[in-house]
Amino acid sequence: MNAFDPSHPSRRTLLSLCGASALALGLPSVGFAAVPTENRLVVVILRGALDGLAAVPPYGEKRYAERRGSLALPLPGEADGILPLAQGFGLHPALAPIHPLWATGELLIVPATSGGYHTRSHFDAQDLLETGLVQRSGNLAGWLNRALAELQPREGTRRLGLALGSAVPLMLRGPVPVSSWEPPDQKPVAPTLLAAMTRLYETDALFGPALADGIRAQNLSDEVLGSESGADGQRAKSLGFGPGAFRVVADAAGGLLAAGEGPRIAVMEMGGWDTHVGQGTVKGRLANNLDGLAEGLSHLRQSLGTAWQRTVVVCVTEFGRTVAPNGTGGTDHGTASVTFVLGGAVRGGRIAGDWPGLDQLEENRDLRAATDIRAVLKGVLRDHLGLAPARLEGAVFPESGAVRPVSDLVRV
Amino acid sequence: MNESIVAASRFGYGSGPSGASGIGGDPKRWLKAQLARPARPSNLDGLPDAASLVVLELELRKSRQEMKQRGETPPEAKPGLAQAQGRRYYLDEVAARYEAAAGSPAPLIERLVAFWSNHFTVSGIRPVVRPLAGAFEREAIRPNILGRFEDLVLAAVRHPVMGLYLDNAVSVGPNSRIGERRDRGLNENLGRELLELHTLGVEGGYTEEDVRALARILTGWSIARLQDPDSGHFRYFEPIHEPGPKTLLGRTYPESGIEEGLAAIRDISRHPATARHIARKLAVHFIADQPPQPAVDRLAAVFRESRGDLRATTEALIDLPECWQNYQKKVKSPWDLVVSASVATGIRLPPEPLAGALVRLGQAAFMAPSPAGWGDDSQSWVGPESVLRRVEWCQGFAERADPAIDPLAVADAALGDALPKPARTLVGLADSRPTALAMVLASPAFQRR
Repeated sequence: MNAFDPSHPSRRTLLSLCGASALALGLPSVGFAAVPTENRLVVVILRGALDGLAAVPPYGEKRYAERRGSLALPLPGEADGILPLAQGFGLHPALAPIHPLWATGELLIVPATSGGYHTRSHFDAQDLLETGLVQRSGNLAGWLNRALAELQPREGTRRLGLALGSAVPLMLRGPVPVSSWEPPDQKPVAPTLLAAMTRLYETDALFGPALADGIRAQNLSDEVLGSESGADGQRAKSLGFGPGAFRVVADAAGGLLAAGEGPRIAVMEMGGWDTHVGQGTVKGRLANNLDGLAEGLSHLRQSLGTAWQRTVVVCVTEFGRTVAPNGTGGTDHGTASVTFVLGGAVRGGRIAGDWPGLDQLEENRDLRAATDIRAVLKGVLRDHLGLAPARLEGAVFPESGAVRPVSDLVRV
Repeated sequence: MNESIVAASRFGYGSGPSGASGIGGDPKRWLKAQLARPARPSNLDGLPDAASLVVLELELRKSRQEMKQRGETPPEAKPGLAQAQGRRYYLDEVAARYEAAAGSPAPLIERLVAFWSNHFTVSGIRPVVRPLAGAFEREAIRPNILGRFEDLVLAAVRHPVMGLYLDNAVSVGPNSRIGERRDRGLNENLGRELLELHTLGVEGGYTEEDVRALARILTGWSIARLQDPDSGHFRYFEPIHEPGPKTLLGRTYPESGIEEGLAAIRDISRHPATARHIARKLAVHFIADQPPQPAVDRLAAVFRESRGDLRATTEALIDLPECWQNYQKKVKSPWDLVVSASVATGIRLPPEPLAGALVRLGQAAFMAPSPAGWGDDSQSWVGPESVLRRVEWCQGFAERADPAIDPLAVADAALGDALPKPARTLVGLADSRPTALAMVLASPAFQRR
């Protein structure tokens, strides 16, 4: 065709966006009242239910190998072994990019968390995680937007909240307006969606073969099928395909949050955690995703620059997965998963919250929850952003009086 | 199959969040009522008319020429509106067309506009046309889709944008007063496409001699210059009209200036081959890539007997049983996909992402690859690369959805039973709402109509 391409002329490059973030977000660049907080909060929603026992294996548990069966990871010291933390916990080897943060005291692990609700439906659980409720209600506003409402009055028209992605996630939705940033290029199809489409097109004589050929032509088969061969995974990563796309968003988030009068509270999302089939161990689909997450977090740290010292990042997921592998080399919907808290402002290098162990399982299949995710979030909102405890109980997380904030999460 | 859902998808852009409920119990009546009182979408008001843009174009060229004569360097590398502010006009038109289609209470009208606009393609592939193509559709196509076919042809041919696109504005009769003095000649482009694409069709039985005859007949059909009172509009210029009688399809047209062209267009519009050609194109568009012959024959008969009455022909189309039996035989074009996904979810794309999406999906708005327009069969749209692009687009689009949107409710409203049970189950198991919504939109049932 000819050189005209309506998608290009106004393409916003990351560089120019970060350099002129105030402008890009429609913020006035001068004339602010005092900034109430220079502290930053990033919430990463891991959609699809992360297998917490794979991300943070409790290898010190007597029954770890027995319970995890074919999904058990090689022990520390073995080839591709678990990266040790403390108290018998370690990190999945694919999380290596964030392992150094443990030694510097910037990574805190809460090993058995849940949102306090009981559902194994992704949609319902994500809604509850994002609204901060334990059962559905008509009020579909996000808890983080309610938290912004507590901070915003001091800020006038400045937009403290930032959504990274095409739409504002429910967690940030509500009466307080927020900024958003959209990746300049269309994301390639996520492996999970590609796998789902392969099934939806199975019986279609036109779309089925076309998609299969397309996947072959692009060498995406391994991503879709979760094969353990690494070559295509590497290629996909370099293209920003699937897990690699998170890095692009992380770079943008860091740049925008670092800016002098930019946003202070951001939500990022990453999918691909619903590993029912062939999740793999040291390599494979879940490992690729963990690697994408860790790479992205590492990029976030770099792009935040000195602002990293005042940042708390919380990675949450809607629920955990079954302890034992299912019949297809994956895991099914469970109860508790892991919550990561990291950042220069975190009092890390330790495991927080109780650990229920692997002897007694929820319904004989799931890791039991020991810590409510809201307790972690309340601790961060209170100690890092200075929200009043009474507002946390009443406004931000309604009817959560029994969920006490976790203390000492941040350096003060 | 629920006839309301068939009607909404086959003759419109599908059903929205409230389902096909606006249609009522009699889908055929709903469709015909749209033909009875077609309203021009109000969001099209205020867009610039083609003539004023043509004037802008001419002025730009003139001032550029004057600068060059003074030895100065013009600010733009290339001449013309497209290089200057053309992109703004283009995006405004794309956005307006999209708004009109996705928000229409009379979606059949919008589908007909798109169909006839494609039939009489003027493509922005030619930079001069790019900012003007939307105005062509609004001025030449939209007001004429339910009148007589010959009036539609005439409106398209006389429109300045068609004159620019198919070069007739600069076609000069070799024996005309100006043709004799200057080294300018006949351009057959419009004459050929009129016969091959717009009326008789490639198998319509015309010869190269007929192409040249029609081109000679249409000499003088041009655009008023800056110095003319009606500058930018269609204008007939006697001094470039080829004099003498011309013989087209066995009929001789005596020299009569602009009247020759009016008569010739009326005759080729009423030609039996034209009835067959139009009937087949309509059936391919609304029924199936290989439409049943009786349906084509029926449409051709109505077209012929009504002397090209497009409202009568469209009503006959609605009444064809084949239109109600071949559900899900057609693959949606990228445009149809984008608009129907917008209707189904209530999401509205901003102009830039809209234009960009259509580029990536292979159907940049107003940018058909040739005067033949976009292909109208599944082979044009489904291939290994394009299917990936489609799924990719559905994924990105679904991420724009309000979290309150229930993907299964979207599926039920837009597709009814067309989404098979196992597919519906799979959608319910998706790892997030956006993934589930992407699956609904990328499903074979939604990709077809």
